[in-house]
Amino acid sequence: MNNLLEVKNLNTSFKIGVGTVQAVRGISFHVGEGESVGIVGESGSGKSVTMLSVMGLLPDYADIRADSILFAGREMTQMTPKQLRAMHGSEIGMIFQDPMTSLNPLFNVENQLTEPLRIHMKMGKTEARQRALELLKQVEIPNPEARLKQYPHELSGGLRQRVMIAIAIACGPKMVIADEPTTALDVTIQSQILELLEHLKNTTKTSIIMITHDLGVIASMCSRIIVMYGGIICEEGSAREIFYEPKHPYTWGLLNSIPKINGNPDEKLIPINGTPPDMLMPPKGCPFAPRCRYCMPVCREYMAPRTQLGETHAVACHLMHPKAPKVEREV
Amino acid sequence: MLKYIMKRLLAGVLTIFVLITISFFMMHAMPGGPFSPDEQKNVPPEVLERIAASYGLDRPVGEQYLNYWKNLLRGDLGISYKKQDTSVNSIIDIHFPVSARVGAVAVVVALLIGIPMGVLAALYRGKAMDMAAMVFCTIGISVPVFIISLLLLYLFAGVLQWLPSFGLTSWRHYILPVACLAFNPIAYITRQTRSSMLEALEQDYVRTARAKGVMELWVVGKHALKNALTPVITYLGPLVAGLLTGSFVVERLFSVPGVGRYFVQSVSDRDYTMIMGIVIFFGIFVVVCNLISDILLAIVDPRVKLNS
Repeated sequence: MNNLLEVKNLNTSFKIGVGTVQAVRGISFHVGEGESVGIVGESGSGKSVTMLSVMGLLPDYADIRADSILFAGREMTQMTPKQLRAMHGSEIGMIFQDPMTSLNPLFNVENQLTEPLRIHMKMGKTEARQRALELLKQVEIPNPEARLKQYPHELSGGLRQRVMIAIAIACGPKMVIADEPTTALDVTIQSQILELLEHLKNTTKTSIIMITHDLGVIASMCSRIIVMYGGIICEEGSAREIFYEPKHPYTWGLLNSIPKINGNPDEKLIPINGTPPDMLMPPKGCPFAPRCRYCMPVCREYMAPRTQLGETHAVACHLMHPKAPKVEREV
Repeated sequence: MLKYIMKRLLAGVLTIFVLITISFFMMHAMPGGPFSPDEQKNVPPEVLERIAASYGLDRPVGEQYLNYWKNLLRGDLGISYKKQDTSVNSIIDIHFPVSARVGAVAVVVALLIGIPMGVLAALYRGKAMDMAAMVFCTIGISVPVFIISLLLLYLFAGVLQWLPSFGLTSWRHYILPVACLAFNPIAYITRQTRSSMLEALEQDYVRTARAKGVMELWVVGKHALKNALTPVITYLGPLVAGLLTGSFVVERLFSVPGVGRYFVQSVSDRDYTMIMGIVIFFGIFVVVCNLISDILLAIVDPRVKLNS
C-alpha cells in the first residue's frame, strides 16, 4: 500500500496574549491509499489541530512547522495558497463536528453543495445540479429535489451532516477528513452516519481520517488507530493491536472508560483522574505522567522515546524500557 | 408574505392613529397658540380672536380633533397658519423631494463607504487600517452633526473655497450637505459591519467554505459578508427614513430648501396644521421604511419568518 499522506515532525503552536500554546509537538504519521485511520484523544490533545494544520485551515496566528507534509507525492509545505486551495474540496474533503454551524445559514443546499463542483470541476449550473442530486442520493437523503432548495435550518442534524458529507465527497476526493463527525448528533443518528461513512469508504476507496474522542466510533471503521495526548502520539497501531494489546497506560485508560454492552450492569467505568496538561506550559516529560498511575520519576523529566513493537505497533512510554517494572493493564 | 404585509400595514395605520391623537392633544395642551395675544403683541386681541375663529380654533379641542380627521381622511392636511394661502400638502410636495434627493444620495454614500470600510477594518483587525477606521467611527458617532457641518463648511467653502456654501443648483452643491448627513451613518455602519464581520469570520461555515477550496475573496465577500450585513439591513429602515426626511441643521446651514427645517420651525411657530402634517408624513414614512427593511431582511435571511 502506497502512502497517500505522510506527515513528518509536525509542530503547531498558537501565539496568544499570555504566551504560546504548543498544541502539536513533533508528530509524524502516514495514511495509506484507501486506508482509514482513526486519531483518538480527549479534548485538547491536538488531534483536530493536527488535521487543520495539514489542511492549512488554521487562523493566521497559528505557527505551523513541519519537516514535510507529502500528499500524493506532492510537498504541501511548499505549496502556494492557490495550490492548496485547488486541493481543498477536490482532493481532500472535510467533514466537521457540528453540522448546525458548519453550513452557511443564508445559502440553500444546492448553492453550498454545488460550490465545490463549480469551483474545481468547472461545472455549469445544470450539470452541477445534476451531480448534486446524485450526491444527495449517494448519502441516502430521501427526496433530493426538494432538499436542494432547502436551507440548513430546515434540515435535521443528521440530514445536515449528510449534506456535509455530500459536500466533502462531491469532487471524488482521495482523502476525507472527518473531524468528530458524530459528536454533535443523537446516538441513533450517530450510527447511521457511521454506517454511511463506512459504506462510502468501501464503495469509493477513499482514504478516511476519523478524528474522535470516542474509541467506540472507530472500532468498526478504522484499520489503524493513532492515540494522541498532550500534542504527541503516545501509541499507534492496527485496530487489533490498540484494542487487544494496548501498551500505553493512557490507551488503557481510554479503553477502560468505554461501557461494554454485554458487561455487568453494576460494573463501574474507570475514569482517568485529573485533567489534560496545560499546553501553555507543557510538562517537559511525558504529558500523561501527572495522571498516570504507573508514573516513574523518569517520566516527569524526559519525553518517552518511541518504541517500535511490531510492523504497525509503536508506543511512546518509559514502561517499554527493559529495566522498567512490568505492569499489566487492569481490566 | 402578502398577509404579513397587510398585517404590518394595519399595525402601521394603528400606529399613525395613535401618533396623530397624541400629537394633536399635546400640541393643544401646550400653553399659547398660533394667534395667542402673548405672542402677537402688535395685533389687537379682538382681531386675533377673529382670526383664530376663522380657523375654527375657538371650538372645543375635541371638535377640532374630529374636524381635523374629517379633512385628513380626504387627504387634506389643511392650510398653514403662518404661510398665508399655502396648504401643508403643497409645502410637503415642494420641499420633500429636495430633502429626499439629498438624503438618498447620503444613504448611498453611507452604504458605499461604511460597508467596505467595516469589512476592511475587520480583515485587518488591529492593524493601522482598523485603528484609523475606529478613530473615525468614534468621532463620527460622538461629534454632533452641527459641529461637523460647521467645520466642513468653514474648511471647504470658507478657507479653501472649493465648494459652494449654499443652494442646490449643481452636483457640487450636494457634496457638503451629503457629507454632513452621511457622516454619522458612515461611522455607525462601519462599526456595525466591522463587528458583525469579525463574528462571521469566526464561524464554522467560513471554515467549511475554505475547506471547499473557495477563493478567499468569495469566502469573505459571499459567505461572511452576507451574514455580516443582516444587522446593517435592520438599521437601513430608520436610516433611510431619517435621512430622506431631511435634517434641520444641515438644511439650515447649507440653505437647502428641504422639508427638514419645517419640522422645527413649525413647532416654534405653533403652526398647528404644519406640525400635524409633518408628523403624519414622517410617521408614515418611518412605518413604511421599517416594513421594507424587515421584508428585505427576510429575503436575505431565510430563518426570519414573516408571520409573527
